[in-house]
Amino acid sequence: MRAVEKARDWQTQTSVIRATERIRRLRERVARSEPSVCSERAVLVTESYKETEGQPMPIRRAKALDRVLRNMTVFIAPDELIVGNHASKPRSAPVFPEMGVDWLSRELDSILETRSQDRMVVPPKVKEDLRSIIPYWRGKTLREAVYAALPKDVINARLAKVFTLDNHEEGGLGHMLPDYPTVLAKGFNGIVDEVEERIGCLDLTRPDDYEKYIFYEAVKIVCRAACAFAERFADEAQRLAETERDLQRKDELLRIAQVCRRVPAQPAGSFYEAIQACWFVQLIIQIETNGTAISPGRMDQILYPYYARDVKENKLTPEQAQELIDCFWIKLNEIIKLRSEPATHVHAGFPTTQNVTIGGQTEEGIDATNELSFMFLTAQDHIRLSQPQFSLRVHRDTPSALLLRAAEVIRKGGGIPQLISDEVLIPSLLARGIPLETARNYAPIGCVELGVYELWGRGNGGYFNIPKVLELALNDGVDRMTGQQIGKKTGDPRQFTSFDDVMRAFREQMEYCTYLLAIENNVIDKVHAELMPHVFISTVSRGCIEQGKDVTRGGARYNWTGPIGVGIANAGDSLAAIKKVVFEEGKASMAELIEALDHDWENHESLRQLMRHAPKYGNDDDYADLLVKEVVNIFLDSLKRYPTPRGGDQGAAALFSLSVSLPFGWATGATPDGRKAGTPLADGVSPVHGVDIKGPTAVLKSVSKIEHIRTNGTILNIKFHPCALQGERQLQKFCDLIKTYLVDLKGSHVQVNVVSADTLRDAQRHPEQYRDLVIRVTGYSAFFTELSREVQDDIIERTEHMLM
Amino acid sequence: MAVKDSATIAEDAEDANGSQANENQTGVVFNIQRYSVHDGPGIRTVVFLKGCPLRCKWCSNPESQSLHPDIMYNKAACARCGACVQACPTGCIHFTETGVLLDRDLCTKCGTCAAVCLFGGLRVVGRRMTVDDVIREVEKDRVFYDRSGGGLTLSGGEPTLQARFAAGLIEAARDRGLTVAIETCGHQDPETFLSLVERVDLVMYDLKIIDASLHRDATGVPNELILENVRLLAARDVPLTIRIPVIPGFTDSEANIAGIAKFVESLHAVREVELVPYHRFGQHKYEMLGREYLLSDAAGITEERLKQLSCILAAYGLNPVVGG
Repeated sequence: MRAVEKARDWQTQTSVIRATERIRRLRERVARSEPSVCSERAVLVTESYKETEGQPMPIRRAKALDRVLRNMTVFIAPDELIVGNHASKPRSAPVFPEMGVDWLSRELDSILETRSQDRMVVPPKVKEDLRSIIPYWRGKTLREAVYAALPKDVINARLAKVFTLDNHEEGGLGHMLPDYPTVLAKGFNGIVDEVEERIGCLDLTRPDDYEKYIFYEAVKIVCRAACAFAERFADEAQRLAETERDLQRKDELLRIAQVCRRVPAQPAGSFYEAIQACWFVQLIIQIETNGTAISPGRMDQILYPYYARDVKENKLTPEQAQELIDCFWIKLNEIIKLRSEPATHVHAGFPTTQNVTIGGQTEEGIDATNELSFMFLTAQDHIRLSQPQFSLRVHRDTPSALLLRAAEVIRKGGGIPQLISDEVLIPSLLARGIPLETARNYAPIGCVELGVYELWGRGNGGYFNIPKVLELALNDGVDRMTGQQIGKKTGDPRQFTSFDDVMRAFREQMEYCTYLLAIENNVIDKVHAELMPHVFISTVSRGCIEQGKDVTRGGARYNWTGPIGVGIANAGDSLAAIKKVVFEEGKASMAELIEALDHDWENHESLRQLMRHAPKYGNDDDYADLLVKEVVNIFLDSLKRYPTPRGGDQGAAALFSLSVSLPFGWATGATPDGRKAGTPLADGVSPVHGVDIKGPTAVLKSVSKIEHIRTNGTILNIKFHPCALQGERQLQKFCDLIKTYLVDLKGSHVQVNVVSADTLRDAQRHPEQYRDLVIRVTGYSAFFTELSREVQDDIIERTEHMLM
Repeated sequence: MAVKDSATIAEDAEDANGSQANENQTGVVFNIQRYSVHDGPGIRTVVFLKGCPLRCKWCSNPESQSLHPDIMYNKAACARCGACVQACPTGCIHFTETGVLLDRDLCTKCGTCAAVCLFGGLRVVGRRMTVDDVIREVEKDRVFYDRSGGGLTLSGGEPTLQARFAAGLIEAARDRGLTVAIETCGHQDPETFLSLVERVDLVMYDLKIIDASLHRDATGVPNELILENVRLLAARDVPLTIRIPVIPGFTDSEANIAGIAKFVESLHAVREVELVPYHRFGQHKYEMLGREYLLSDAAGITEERLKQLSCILAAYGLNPVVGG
């Protein structure tokens, strides 16, 4: 009872803290800055690599980072309280030539600035810099090494978009929870001391120990570089303070200097120092690597001891803490990644997926909510930009005040925070051999992939196109879009005489395609271990210093690889339609169906409608739902058997899609669920757009039939019109709905997109994709797309009003 | 689910009173809506029973009024494929420039056209279901009711009109431990009415117009029976809330709201009165039924107006709530 009241108090106290003028200005500045490319890092890394040729790779990588941190531009912008820049401007992306330059030389002159997705400004000087370094890198990059090592069959499947791994073929690794707590407790000086001690215990005549020695020397270099980087900000703050006329700002700058002289070198002594140290770690990782999903994790837990002590000692007010949190929130938005054009379609909109998590349980299994949990929700309410990826861990005893406050933030639009279930994710980690206390301290990495400090999970071990596998099964292994033999020969589908024949072919193609994916995953691991040790990341990953090994070589305590299944709803719905229309009702033959698919349904509209009317996933109908479940299990079963070179297996597969549902759709022919060739696949574990017509409870029940506990995370997006969330009673019911899904039905994740007026306008243009959109008011409900234009316009107007 | 012919439905409706409820009892349902959040406590499934004795001019569910199935035609979805024209046994469907036209005088509402329509252009509203069919659908969301305190809500049309079916649903739900709420206009023979509503956990009772003749003009029936039933109900121990649809030009006068408030206050059994603002979201349904919408010129109700009316209710010691 006391906990409940406390939570309610926190809710009341923290939700009234307004964003300060400073925060508004900082937010505006980052929201308005145009994405651009910065060449500083590329030039510095090239210089360093030229000087270190012949040295051990970990040392070369460490020296390259050292070179950048000591020489790149540092600046402190007006109003900033948390300092540390990624490149020479906010939202300017550094370049990582060591990962790959072919695409860069192709896109540099015109494509980068004109492409349809994630366009970037490239100043002439940057172009010139980059052009001058490209020749040095030819033949030395990660991407070239990966492609040289891949067997031809794998490359073919990869190009046919059966799977894609562009992230790790031409980019660094990420998907991790940096060990902030250790950095805050020991400082990098403390870590260097520990490493020195370990070096003292080595016997360098032993080859293993010599390898460790190299690694430890590299760790020392990056730790010292990190401290030097912070010192540079201290110097800059001091310099600015000397000429600052505004007395308040002068004080602020002197405080910044003080903070940066202490952290991250020494242990954090205050909330301010703690959050600044976290930012330095977050930033430096992203200067070392262009890997995504560097996830701060459970910041309400990590920072709470510092907050509680400062508040108790009257050194900090909640308002001051909120402002610092808001600054951190904005900082996360300054980081963007430069990607090749094909990769921007997979990760559209510069997602860096830096996941911040609140709520959940302590290592002892008790509810972990504290004031900061609420203040992070308030930060999201204040900032509302694309980062961070923000998660609320929900469990049986999550205080309803916390969930209600989250619902308030969600109701205003944007779908943030996403809600994830301890009741599924903790058992799922246990099933993978993680001890209970460690599992309870989990946080999602990137989108939803599960992370603990001790894990190197190679999240994003390939997006995998499941409907494409079904296409191969229904075309004797031939890519329907190109006519090329990609899969195995599993027989002419026109000769299939039972539904079992279809399933057999599907299983065989799945086995073969996951086998190809496993090869590529292991090649990527191997090439990264050789060429691209991630020394700074290893310094802040638990287990690596203990073992004296880089993460890319298995230094983490737990290892696995996590591929990502895409399009389960299309595959399951397609199988349901074949089973029903062809084999149960006999309304069409396999030959007719294949003919229709070959012609992208042209002149087969009636058959297409028949297939579309078959049972569909998302309506709480076992007929389709259980086939989707089976598709998922076939995918998971086939991956489990493959080991990774670091240890562990490749079976930690997640189910989500980001924007890859588009490029995968482009490469996939017509599917038997009635989908036309080249159109997007279903996203995450959500039903195909517009086929779920029984409302959110039916969707949640359908989706819960998948065994979420077997996955490494799933993403379910559901749409709500704001009218369903207006009023406190409705909001409470919404919280009950979510909790039922996450706690009782054991769904792992849900993200609620409150429908905006723009979405409704899109629904007017494409009604077929929005058949599920319901307008609910007392005693009445209707599908939006069936309303007259006039009434639709009226609702759009109301919607704009509701979201204001 | 097959659609029964209209004659059978009429018969069933006629002998709807009195008989013993059982789970094979059938009735005509025009919609089952899961995750309903405006129709009683918690997350509920609303079962809409077809048929209503009233003909309110502002009705947003015109397809609910007749006890018989209706054919609705959605021109926007029609592909003009002609399947319905071919299939119609009475030949009452014809091509037009932009779609098809139903001759509704000839149409027997047999549903053949809807059965062959692949594009969602034609559909039958109202299907015959057994109590067991309905309850099985309702039970699918039990896990949500358990957490939220929700359950089944019977609505319509006027759910007490198919009295035997409604009784079957109420008993079957109670047997399974589900709570039952009912939304009613109250226009029903008192004995039948009380025997039903006494068995539910919450009655949401519509009061529209306090003046008898104005009531008749706007809804087609006088309000004596309605007021009588709510008095009887108030004397029993059944949780009751009152709802007032706020319809410009019909129910939104201060005199009417004050009149209703005074009446409700005199019942000494009700605190919460919900004002349900007018909307015209039902307009398209009239078009789809081939009927004319009578309120096409009506203005909306402003939030300010709702506040003023709430104040009147509060002045009578009632607890006003504005519905969504």
